[in-house]
Formats: sequence, C-alpha cells, structure tokens
Amino acid sequence: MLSLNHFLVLSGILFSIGTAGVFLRRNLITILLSIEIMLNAVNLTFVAVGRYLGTVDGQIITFFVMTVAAAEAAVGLALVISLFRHRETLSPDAFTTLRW
Amino acid sequence: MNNLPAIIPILIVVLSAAAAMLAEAFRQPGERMPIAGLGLIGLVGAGAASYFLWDKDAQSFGVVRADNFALFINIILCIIGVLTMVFSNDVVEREDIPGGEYYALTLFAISGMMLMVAATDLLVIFLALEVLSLAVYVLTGIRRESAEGAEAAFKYFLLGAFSSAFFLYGIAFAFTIAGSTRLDEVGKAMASAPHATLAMLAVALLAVGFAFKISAVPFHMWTPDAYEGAPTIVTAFMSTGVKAAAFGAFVRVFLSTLQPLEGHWVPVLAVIAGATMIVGTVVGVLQSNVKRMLAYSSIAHAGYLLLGIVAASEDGKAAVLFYLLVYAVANIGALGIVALLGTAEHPHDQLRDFAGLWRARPGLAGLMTVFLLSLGGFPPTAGFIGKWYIFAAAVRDGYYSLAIIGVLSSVVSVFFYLRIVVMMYMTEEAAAPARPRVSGPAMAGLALAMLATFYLGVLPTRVIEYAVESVKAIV
Repeated sequence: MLSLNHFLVLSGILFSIGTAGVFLRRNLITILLSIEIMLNAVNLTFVAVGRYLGTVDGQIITFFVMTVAAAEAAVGLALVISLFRHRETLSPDAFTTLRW
Repeated sequence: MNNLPAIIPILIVVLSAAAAMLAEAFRQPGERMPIAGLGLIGLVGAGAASYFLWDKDAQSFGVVRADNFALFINIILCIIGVLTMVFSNDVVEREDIPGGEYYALTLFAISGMMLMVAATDLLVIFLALEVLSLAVYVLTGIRRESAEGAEAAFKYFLLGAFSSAFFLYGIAFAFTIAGSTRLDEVGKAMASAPHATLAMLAVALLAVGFAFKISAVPFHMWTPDAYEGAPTIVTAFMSTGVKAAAFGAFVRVFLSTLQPLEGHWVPVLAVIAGATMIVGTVVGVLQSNVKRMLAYSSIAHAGYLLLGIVAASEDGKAAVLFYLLVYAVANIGALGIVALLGTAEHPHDQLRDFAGLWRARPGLAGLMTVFLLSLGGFPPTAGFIGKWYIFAAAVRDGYYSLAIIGVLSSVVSVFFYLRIVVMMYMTEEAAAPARPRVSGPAMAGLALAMLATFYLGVLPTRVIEYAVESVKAIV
C-alpha cells in the first residue's frame, strides 16, 4: 500500500534531480526543463497531500502552478531565442559579458 | 461587490496597464502618444484609493487584505511608479525601448507588487510574485538588439525561476502541515508544529525564495548582472519596486505567520544580514560602473533591511517600512539621473562619465549628490534617520555585533558614493560626452524626490508614526 510518505519522498527525489540538472547541465533548454521538473515535483506534493487530506485544494493549486509554469516557459524560451540570435550558442559558458 | 474594496488600488493599476497596451495597439506608426500619462493617472488613482482605504482594513475574497501595512507599501510603490513614469517619458524613445510594451509591463509589475504585499494566502503571494517577476524579466531584456540586455534578462530569469521553485516547494510543505495555504491557518499549524522537520523545511525553502528576490547574500549573484544589463530606467524601477514588494511579503510571512518558529530562523537571518551588508559594501568599492556599484549598494541596503527584520520588535518592523521609503526615493533618484543622462549609444554609466557634471549640469550634479548622501546615510538627509532607526532597533534587541557591522559597512559605503561626488565636482571632463537635455517633468520628479529626502531627514516623526501605526496590522 502506498502511503503519503512514498509520494513525499518521490517528489523530494524529483526536486533534487531538477536542482542537480540546473547546476550540471550545459544547455540552456535542458536547464529550463530541469526547472520544469522541479515545479512538477512540487505539483506531485500538492496532489498527494490534497488526496491524503481528502480536499480538492491540492488539485486546484496544481492548476495555478501549471499556469505559472506555462507562462514561465513562454518567457524563458523567448529569452533563449533572443540570446541565441546574439550568440549562436546555447551553452551557458558563453555568456560572460557581464561579470563582477 | 463587498469583496472589491481591498483590490481597488490593484484594479486601477491593471486597468491603466490594459489602457497602455490598447493605446500602443491603436497607435499609428510614428504617432506619439502620451502613454506615460495614462500610467500616471492610474498610479495617482491607486495612491488615492490606498489613502481612502487607510484604517478600513478592507478584505477581498478572504485572500487579499488591504490593511495599513499593505497600504503603506502601496503608497511607496505608487511613488516609485510615478517617478518611473515621469523619467520614462524622457528616456523611452531615446533608448529605443518599445513604448507601449514597456509601460504596460511596468504597470503590470506594479499591480503584482501591490497584490504581493496585500495577499494573506501563500498561493496568492506566489502568483503575485510571478506576475511581477515575469514582467520584470521581460523589462530587463526589452532592448532586443542589446546583447547584454538579453544576457542579463536570461540570468535573472533563470535564477528567478529557480528560486520560485524553491519558494513553491516551501508552500507545498506549509500546505502539508496546515492543510491550507491561508497565512492564519499556516500560522496556527506552525505554532503547534507536530511535524518539526517539515516545518523547518517549509521555513527554510520560503526563506530561500525571499532571499533571492531581495538579493541577500549568498543568493545575490543575479543582481549586479541584471542591474547592469537592463536599461537604466528599468534598473531604477526594479531595484526599488521589487525590493519593496518582496520585503513587504517577507515581513508579513515571517514576522506574523512564522513568528512562532522565531527561535529557528532568526539566527540564520542574522548571519545572512551580516554577510549581505559586508559583501554589498566590500565588492561595491571595487566597481567602476555606476549601475553595478549601485547594484552592490542595493545589496548592502537589503542587508540593513534584513537587520530590521532580525530585530523584530515593533520598532524594527516600523524601521523596515520607513527605510524602504527612504531607500526607494533616494535610489530611484540616483539611478533616474543616470538614466536621464544616457542614450542608447552612450549609456553614461561609467564612473568617468560623471567627470565635470557640476560644470555642465549644476542642477543634476546637486540632486545626484543629495541622493548619494542619503544612500550613504549623511544627516540631514533621510538615509541618516532611516539607518539610525534600524541600528537603534537592533541595539535595543541586543544585536550589537550586527549593528556594528552595519555602521562600519555604511562608513565604507560612503567611500564609493563619494567617489561619484568627487568625480562630478573635482575632475575635469576629458572629452565632452553629449548629454541629452532633461525635460521639465523629469526635473520636477527629481526635485520632488529631493524634497522628500530632506523632509524625511529633517521632520521624520509624522511618517514614522504612520509606519508604527501600519505595522500594528500584522502583529
């Protein structure tokens, strides 16, 4: 039988994978995807806890989070395109005009 | 209809943003439109609505509460917005910023800021945070032909989205504990705290989310890049507005909802406050770009404000509110002058660009001096009273070492503020850079900011009383 703890641990693992991806991946699109994984890990927590508490709040919150994630993805991809037009690369190591 | 009063100021700003968007859509190519005027009307209206809501404690939908605390910050935000609009009118065309989008996004960001400080539900705080952040990310990169702008916007976006995921995870844990995202219910559940580990995780993750937004060390990496790469007028807007909104929500969540867990988070925030003050000033000294220097100065100021939160007495909270106002007026004034002197080809943001400004533009040099002295904390400007009030609250609460760090770092910070002043008065200008003319309304805005700086410095009692009055709402 799956308990709430199983879901909380799974979402913790997913969140960590996402966090690690942001630090370790060397491609801007993959980094954006890692952030999406983090947000979806949080969604899993909301749904599992909502189900556990027997309310629909958790599920409804998930819709808000999905909306925000979509808006973030729209802005993020637009910025990636505008960066690519200037630099012709998607590696984060190339963006060093601004430092210190 | 009973649900509306608390969100009226926000609605007015959203309407003016929509009007700005429509105006741009109906604008003929080459036609000039007073879009800044629309924004001004909306912001003055929102300010007036906030004034009339004072002491009413209006609530909307159970998740937005226009208590005096939110209204005080609303008024700060309106002042920031009005000054931004007045300066933008000069700057936007010269800098090749697309006008309609710029004004609409600025106004939408302000509406998000107002919602963020008035929200009494963690989920609404998150949504408001995203409304303002997404608008500001785009504003940072709004000059599409600028490579630095795109890079700054992406760095800001990446770290912002990353930190909001942390913030959201914190909300999820609070929801796990309390079964609700309402601040009052989360507060009750935290006080009884049957799940100590979960509660700690929730507090830590929420703190990380806020620390990114207020650019506290070690989450400050994006600040100098974003502030340098953005158009200067956007830097002026976001360094003041985002900070005011984030600190407002920070104070509300930590000093009322999470008050029961104070013993756990105060020591951590105390260390962060100290580190923020030190890093902000020490690295600030090394800068030769004025925007970057002011970015580090804004980090240091975030440290002073955090000190006010750590010294969480009633005085401490009121000091935070008062200091937010003082900082907003001085910082938007200083960065506004940098913006007004810049053009798309010549941003006027290097230290040496300020050489001989006193000869060429005595008025602007004088105003700049006042704002920099206020940021440095010289009497009789507002900065002195603001800092004194915060450090006094810290001493009264027994945070002697932090107060000493604060005083020392403000002494060091005087060095880099005075570098600009020395440049303006005592260095001959090498080759005269073509500095654009500053229009009457922008001058009037700067003069008002200067008057406010002196007023808050010489006769602060009245405003401090209002600040003390408004923090009673969140005890």
